[in-house]
Amino acid sequence: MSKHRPGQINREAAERLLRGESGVPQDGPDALAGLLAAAAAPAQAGELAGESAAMAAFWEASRSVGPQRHEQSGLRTKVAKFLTVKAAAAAVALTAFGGAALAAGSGALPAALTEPHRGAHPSPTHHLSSPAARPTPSISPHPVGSPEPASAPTAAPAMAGLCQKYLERLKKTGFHDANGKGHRIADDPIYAALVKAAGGEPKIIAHCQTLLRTQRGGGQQGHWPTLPPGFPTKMPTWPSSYPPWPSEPSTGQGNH
Amino acid sequence: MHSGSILNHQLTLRMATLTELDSPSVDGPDDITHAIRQAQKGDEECFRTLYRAVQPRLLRYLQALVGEDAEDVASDAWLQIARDLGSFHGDDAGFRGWAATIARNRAMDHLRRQRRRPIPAMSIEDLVDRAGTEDTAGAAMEAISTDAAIKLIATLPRDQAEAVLLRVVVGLDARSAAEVLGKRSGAVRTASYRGLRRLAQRLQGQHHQSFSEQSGETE
Repeated sequence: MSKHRPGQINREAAERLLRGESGVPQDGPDALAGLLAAAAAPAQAGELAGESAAMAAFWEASRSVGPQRHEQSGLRTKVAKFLTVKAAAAAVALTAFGGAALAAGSGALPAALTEPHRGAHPSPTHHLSSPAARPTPSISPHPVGSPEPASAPTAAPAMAGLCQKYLERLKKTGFHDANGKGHRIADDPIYAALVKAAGGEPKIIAHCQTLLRTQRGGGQQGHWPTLPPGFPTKMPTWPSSYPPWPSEPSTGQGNH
Repeated sequence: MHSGSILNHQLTLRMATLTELDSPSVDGPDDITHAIRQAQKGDEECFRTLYRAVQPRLLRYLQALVGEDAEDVASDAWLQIARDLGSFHGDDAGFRGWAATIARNRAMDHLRRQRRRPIPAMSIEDLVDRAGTEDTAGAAMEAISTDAAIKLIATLPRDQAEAVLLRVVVGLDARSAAEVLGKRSGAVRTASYRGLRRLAQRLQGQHHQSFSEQSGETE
């Protein structure tokens, strides 16, 4: 309880208070020290509601200046690009970063950052569930465990060249080489790496589509050769399920 | 910030917890400096560490500048922090000052756009009442939420509020706070002392009123 009259803080005491020194003098202004302590109290979960948006900003920034990160982050950052920061906090957290957002709201925060008093504080997710300022795009990055072929490997340029060559040849000759001996073009040793990377001949086309599409930044579906009728490989349904990103020039060109 | 729910969380204050945002159980200065370096190399988790350590400070500081728009402005600030992190050179304290400068610039941009300064004109009685304090006798400020404390500091003239928050909440020394504000450190010291005195007067007024049931708030 303070015995002080208003305004009776000398500079020395004020400086100690401002430094947040724990050794507040006994005759110090109790209530003021209490107020300042409350102002500097530990972080509350609700204060970290923008974490997903901040992480999205970090991914975006890392991608544009740093070494190439794994492919999925590219998709995430595209998501971030098209949303305001606030909308990204809602949309992104609900899709790609749901895990992180949930972790923040479910006690996975460092204990010291959460309010130690009265365990039940509101979940930060209520901030995230507010209506997004813009419509959420219906696209999301590949879910983990997607049956789609693996994304482009880092040695993409060389593999992309193989793909180009394979597809061009396929277009000319079909699956069987024109020399009439009946061996499949995929059996040509020059495509061995491609067959291996794709996981077998039937998956080559899908693999190459993934790869080349990533290389080009999408939007060139018309390029693909018409498949001979009866070709056993299922064509991925990307043109419908994977709308092209509006005008983002030179995505992936930085890889070269 | 959902002030209602937070106001309902009364913190039982201890005199020894003035530096709780700096307490060792939170990442210490060395950890933060390490996290800065790693985040600059692209480490996501280290950037997350930085965010969790610094964001609450920025948010509270911004509340005094832009009120309920603090979260939006903080998001803008983190966008820039993420983008410009590679150009930062310094340690934990330097990072807090750098981040506070960015946050302040974004807040000033915001205010220029808004042409308003939505600082709530709220008395200490309102704040304590809203915090649900029933025990008004003698201990008015022994239970006040962080949110209410920030709101009370925000009722100071802005130069005083900023000086107090940069020092107490963001954890800067007088010189670093002066750099953030673009002022001389002497001016910032004076502003912060005046702010503390004014806060003490208000608290004293509240305390007096609690006892005597008189109107003790004189300003």
